[in-house]
Amino acid sequence: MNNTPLQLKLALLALVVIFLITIYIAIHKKKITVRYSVVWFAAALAMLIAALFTGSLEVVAKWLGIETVSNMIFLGGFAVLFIISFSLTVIVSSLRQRVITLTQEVGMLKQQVERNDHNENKNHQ
Amino acid sequence: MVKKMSKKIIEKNILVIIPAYNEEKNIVNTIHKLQNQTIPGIHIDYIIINDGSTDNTEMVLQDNHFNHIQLPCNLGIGGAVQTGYKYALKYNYDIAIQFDGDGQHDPSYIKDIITPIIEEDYDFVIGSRFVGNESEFKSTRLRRLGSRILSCQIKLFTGKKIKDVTSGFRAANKQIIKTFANDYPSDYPEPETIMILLKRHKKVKEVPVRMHERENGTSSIKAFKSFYYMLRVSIAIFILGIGRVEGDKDE
Repeated sequence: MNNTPLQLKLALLALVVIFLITIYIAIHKKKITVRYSVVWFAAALAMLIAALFTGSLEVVAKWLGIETVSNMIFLGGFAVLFIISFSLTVIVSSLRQRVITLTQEVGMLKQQVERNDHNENKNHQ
Repeated sequence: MVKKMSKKIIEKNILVIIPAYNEEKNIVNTIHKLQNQTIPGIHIDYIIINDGSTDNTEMVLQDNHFNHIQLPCNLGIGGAVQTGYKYALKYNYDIAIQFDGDGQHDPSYIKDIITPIIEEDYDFVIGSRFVGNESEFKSTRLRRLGSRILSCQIKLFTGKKIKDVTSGFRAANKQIIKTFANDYPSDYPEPETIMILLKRHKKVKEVPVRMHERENGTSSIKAFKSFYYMLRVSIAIFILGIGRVEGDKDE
């Protein structure tokens, strides 16, 4: 059943390793936070499983009624990316809301400080 | 200073919120016209919200010593107006009026727009181009059509007819000031806010006002960006429309 050539397996494993190193470096250099790295580690794990147990993937594909393993992988990959990009939209929306609130507060504080300075100058004269 | 009057007139404090984005040419004129307005028994203050203008608006405001808030970055009309509501809440104003900094609105209608709140217990009053015959300037045909469609959508969900849903000349009572200070839509807020208020069964009234064409420059809704605008506002109205009314915490 397992008819995946060794070269392909090795190539996939190499890809996973590169991917893991990339995530590690990104966290180490604080380009991404651990909080948002989880999903990418999960993706790396999924790739690893897919590379190691190609045979079992075929069983799953057959069970789901999907003709070829590649179709199943495309579908799964699409679903995962869809979820990731949706959650990014959620994150961006909440960040946007926070930026708005902060900007408003900064503006109001600045106005108050300037007003106080202005009144103080008046009193000194 | 407020003189103690024998008559039972309680002085009302009113804040005029003036959002301004790149209005260096119009703002001085707008403020001077506004300052010429006096209404007995009413104390009118104003706050200009400089929404991260890229022209010399900030310099003009400082040179003229206009009371203003400078936002460090551009938030768009919703974020700017909400800043005004926050300011109104902070300094405990009775009524807040939204008033464009570009010379479109006529300050002589301020009295008309606050009277329903003071005398008839309305929560929110909209200065309308399409009610009465005050306004000769009623915008372009395309905009009127868009406005009518949104108006119908709002009627569909709330049963109430508001004719000028995109008017930016409006007055809010104390309770609405609080509501808007806490939560205000950010992008195309005018129709959405009407929806929010009607869903909460607030008393909303339209009064006729005259509006002018902009004195200088172009409006922020360039060419109405018609389709995208309509789509986004329609989605907002639809979601508010099918949603259940959130409990008003301050009631």
